[in-house]
Amino acid sequence: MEVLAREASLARNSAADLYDPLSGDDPWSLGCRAYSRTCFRLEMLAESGEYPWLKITRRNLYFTLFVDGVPLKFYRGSAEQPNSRTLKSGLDEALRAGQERLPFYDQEISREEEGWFWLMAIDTDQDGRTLQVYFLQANRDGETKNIFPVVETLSVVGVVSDDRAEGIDLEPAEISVPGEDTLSASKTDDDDEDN
Amino acid sequence: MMTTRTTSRPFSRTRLQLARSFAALTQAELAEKVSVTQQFIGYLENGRKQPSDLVAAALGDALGVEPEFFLEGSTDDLRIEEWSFRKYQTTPAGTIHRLSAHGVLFGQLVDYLDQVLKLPKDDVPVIESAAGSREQIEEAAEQCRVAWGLGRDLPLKNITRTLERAGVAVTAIPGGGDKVDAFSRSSGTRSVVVLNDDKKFGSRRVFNLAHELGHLVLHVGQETGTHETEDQANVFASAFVLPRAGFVKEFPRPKRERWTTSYWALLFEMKRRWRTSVAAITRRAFDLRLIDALQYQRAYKYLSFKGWLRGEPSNTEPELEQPEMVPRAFGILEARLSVRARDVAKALNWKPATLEKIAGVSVPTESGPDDVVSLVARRASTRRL
Repeated sequence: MEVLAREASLARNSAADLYDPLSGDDPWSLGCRAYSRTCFRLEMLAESGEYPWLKITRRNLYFTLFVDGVPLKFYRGSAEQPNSRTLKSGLDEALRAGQERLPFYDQEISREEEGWFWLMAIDTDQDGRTLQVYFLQANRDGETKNIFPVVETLSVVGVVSDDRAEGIDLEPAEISVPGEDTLSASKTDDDDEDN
Repeated sequence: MMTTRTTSRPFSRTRLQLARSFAALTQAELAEKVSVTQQFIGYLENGRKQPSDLVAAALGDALGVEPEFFLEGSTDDLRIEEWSFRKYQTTPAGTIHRLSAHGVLFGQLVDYLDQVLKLPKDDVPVIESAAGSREQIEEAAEQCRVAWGLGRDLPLKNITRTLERAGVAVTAIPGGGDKVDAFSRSSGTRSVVVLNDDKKFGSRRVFNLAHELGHLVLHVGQETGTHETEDQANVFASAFVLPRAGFVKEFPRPKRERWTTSYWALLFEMKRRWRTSVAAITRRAFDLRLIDALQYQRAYKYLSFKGWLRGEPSNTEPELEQPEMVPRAFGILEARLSVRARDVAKALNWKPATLEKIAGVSVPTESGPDDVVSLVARRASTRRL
């Protein structure tokens, strides 16, 4: 599932990079470009054949992901408050496909009661760049549960030196004349001043 | 115009393109300067015609090079794809050509210096396989620090020196415009990083240098400028400049939901020590999950509200690092080998003004006879042909 989040994130960031208000871009054009790019990248992913569990249905602007047959709609915004349009389209898909359970990481989720569906939320910063991608379940009333932030795992390694040690201060690069000893920076600079 | 040539060596069309790109002239503008047609310039650049000595001299005058410059090898064509440009897709092609040409000429200068002096050998580790997950890139940045004896947890006081000691030739050029921060090339005899000297924020320069280092380490022989490669280089830069072992230890954990003025002061103190913007520090804290998405979002809003995303207060900025290796090499050339800047220009077949632009050194007007050239410079020049 991380691969879906990564592709969505890259697509949105690539659209945000091109955002240029001085040339007439506005949130609407940014959103359109980001949506199209996200659909495109996810479609390419599905067509790559590397992820047999991933299927795409796309007709013009209509786009739905299917993970092992379970529909998954994506949207930009907070994971805790999907908007009404997202809720409606998610519910429509769920009713169309029937609801199944999704495995996330190592956790097993018990079979959900009807009315809950899966969403992928792409939370962004002020520039429209991805902050965090979440997978979550929502229902028609806008309630959410099982919110999974997708995190690229980073291990934090141990501290290896004393507190507040000085920073690394290097001498300038060594330069020498072939056949002569290496010239230290201070010696050379002094010599230059002498000359 | 009569077309007579007194040399049997072919005119290099790529060198003409190179010099014209550096001079930022269109074919039409160059044609007007040398009183030929634009079509003729086009013929020269696609190799269909050879110029007379007179036209070659006029081209040289217009483009800041000697006529002999056009006779040298054809291996110095622009090959823009060799250079790593951020925002490649949105930077005007003319700007990319001009800056790439500057980089190529700077590379020629460094090649020359390599022949007359012993510069640090290129010691940039290539870890292409690391250009995958964030964890792999973090480890690549740490490997780099360890290989250069920098440890895993301390700030770097001068990243330009760090790169130059690893054999990377660094230069800063004016006129890069708003779009380009820096660009780099890992092909050729040594890696080259070119900084836009129009950007005067010290913390941004530190990050730009580390970003270009990321390309040199991760993307040798790869096309860069894509969002994936730029994101990877950013992750590398962040990990190299703000290594997690040191960062985790020093980042002050916010105690309140809303960050107070005194808390921001702590971040600016961290900036002073690590020479990196507060914006980069907060992003690093988020990436290492030392703050959550909501805290980062609030911090970002505050940075935006204060106008600090465009530039943080100048009194908090670290000193703007300047390249040292090439300027010092000129000093050593003159002091030890009696090779003056003017001799270097002659050896490269550049006009003095071109050397001044490329190397940022002053080339004093010659007082003696014009045909007196240092023997060392002449030998190096001969070896290049």
